[in-house]
Amino acid sequence: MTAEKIWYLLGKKLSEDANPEELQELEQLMRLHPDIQYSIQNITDLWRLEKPIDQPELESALQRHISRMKEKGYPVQLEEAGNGAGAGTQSSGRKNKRRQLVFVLACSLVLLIGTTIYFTRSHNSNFVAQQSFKGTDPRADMNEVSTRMGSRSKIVLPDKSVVWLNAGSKLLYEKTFGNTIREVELSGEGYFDVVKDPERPFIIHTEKLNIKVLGTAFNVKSYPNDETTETSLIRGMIEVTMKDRPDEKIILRPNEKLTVRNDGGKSEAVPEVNRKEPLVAIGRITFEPHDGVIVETAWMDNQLFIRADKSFAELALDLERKYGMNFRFDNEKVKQFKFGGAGGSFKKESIQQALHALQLANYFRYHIEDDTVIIDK
Amino acid sequence: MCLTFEYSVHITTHDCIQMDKSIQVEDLKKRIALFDDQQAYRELFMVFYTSLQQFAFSILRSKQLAEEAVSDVFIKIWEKRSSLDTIDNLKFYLFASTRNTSLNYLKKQEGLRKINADDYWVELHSIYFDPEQLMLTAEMISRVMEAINSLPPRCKLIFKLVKEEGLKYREVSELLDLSIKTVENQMTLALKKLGSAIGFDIYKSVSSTIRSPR
Repeated sequence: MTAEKIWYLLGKKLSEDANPEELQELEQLMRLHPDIQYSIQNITDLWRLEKPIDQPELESALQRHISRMKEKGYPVQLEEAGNGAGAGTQSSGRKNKRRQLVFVLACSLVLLIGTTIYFTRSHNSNFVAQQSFKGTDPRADMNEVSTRMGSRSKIVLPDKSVVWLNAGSKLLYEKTFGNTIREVELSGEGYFDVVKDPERPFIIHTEKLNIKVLGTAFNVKSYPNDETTETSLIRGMIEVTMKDRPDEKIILRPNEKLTVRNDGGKSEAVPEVNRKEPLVAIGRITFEPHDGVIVETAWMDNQLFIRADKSFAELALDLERKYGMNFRFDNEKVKQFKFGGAGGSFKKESIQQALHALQLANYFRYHIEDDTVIIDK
Repeated sequence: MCLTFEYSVHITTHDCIQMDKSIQVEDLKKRIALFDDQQAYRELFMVFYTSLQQFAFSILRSKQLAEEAVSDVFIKIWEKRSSLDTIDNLKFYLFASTRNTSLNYLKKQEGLRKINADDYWVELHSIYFDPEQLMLTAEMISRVMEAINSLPPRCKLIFKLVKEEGLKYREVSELLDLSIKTVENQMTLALKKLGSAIGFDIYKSVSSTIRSPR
């Protein structure tokens, strides 16, 4: 009975006929029926595929239509300007070739511009991602992609899986990636959209966690200086193990977020009850209330949300990454400031505008020296 | 392998194509209406011809007649191009005109006869599967195809119009003269069949890589 409802709601969702309540109900039902998850994901993927277009047939249909119009006395030109009359398969074939050539030229141009921008940037600013092949390192068989502060990058892996890398992050993978197993190492934050391949599992190693993937999209935030490691699953299914407890497997379902405290190993002596946060917690992904933006992946759009549960010190780490600035707190109290979470976010704001907005919520004093924001009061 | 990007939004290709398409159609409509732009007219034809021809074919069951019907629809568009701007939903307008024109052809051929949605005949190979993108096994694809093939004609048609042509439930119900309830029920049926065809295989294809949660 409820399963029936799922298909009903899925249909409305896919045809974009569903209202927000229906979308919410679908989400709830899907959580109750994880067994249907896989089918739903495949149908959703299937839905996205465009039907194939028979281009030569389409072009000759257009020529037939134009001829027919001419016969009926409409003053429509038979061929595109400059191409003359005499539409035949041969000429449309030639036209195709010409189009292909134009396309190739356009692509090369884009590539050229892209490369130019790439090199120009790498010379004069830190807005660049680097892919270096470490020749002298013992890990010469690894590819490394890293992003500096204030920049983000998109990587397409050999298996066509896509990784968006947030600022100050690093992704390592073997040059033989994908031959038998697909393994990467991540330090920092990345959004993964993994191509399904049941034969070759995709595994992400972070400092604290190993994440095993089927075919799925999710965000991993694992910066070494952050208090927690967060894994947010957007769709699909992933299996997470903590490095220090390899036998315990945690399965994440869509819209769930796994938060692991990074100091977990060291402060084992602190009694569990005294901790303000649990060592490991499964929570929900946060949707921005107004337009449903997923807070955990908003960085891909260069957007940074102010989260109610995060202190200024934690927020400062995100600001450092977004703006490529350093933060220095000369006042311990300000470090613990919180700024509420009424969906506030920064996107195109300058660092000054962002700090000013924060001052309005909870006043502090700051000044900027070179690339360091100093907060003293 | 590595591309730099400064400003990126994660939009699926589908969203992109859908969004681009409706903006593109609006733009073409304006160019045709205001400037008699023949290039825009050609582009509009290219955007909708295949969909409309397939829809006409489901009524007429003749490739040649279907092509002529769509050609007639586009001739009408050219005739009334100056008032094109007043049509809000050009896509639906084209589908509705194609239906009317096709039914008129049918009347001329077979005398007066009302066609109901059960009589529509949908060509199936146009429902497209790319096994590489979907990571479905050949066996599963044949099962999915079988599931869609076994749908009643009306259900198949509704599924195709919603999935491939991106029509809304309300538009399909108007186009086929059915209640919204019927469209909803038929879509539910189609997805359920598709779901069970795909779901059947899940543990078989997954068990080798991921341990079952239970």
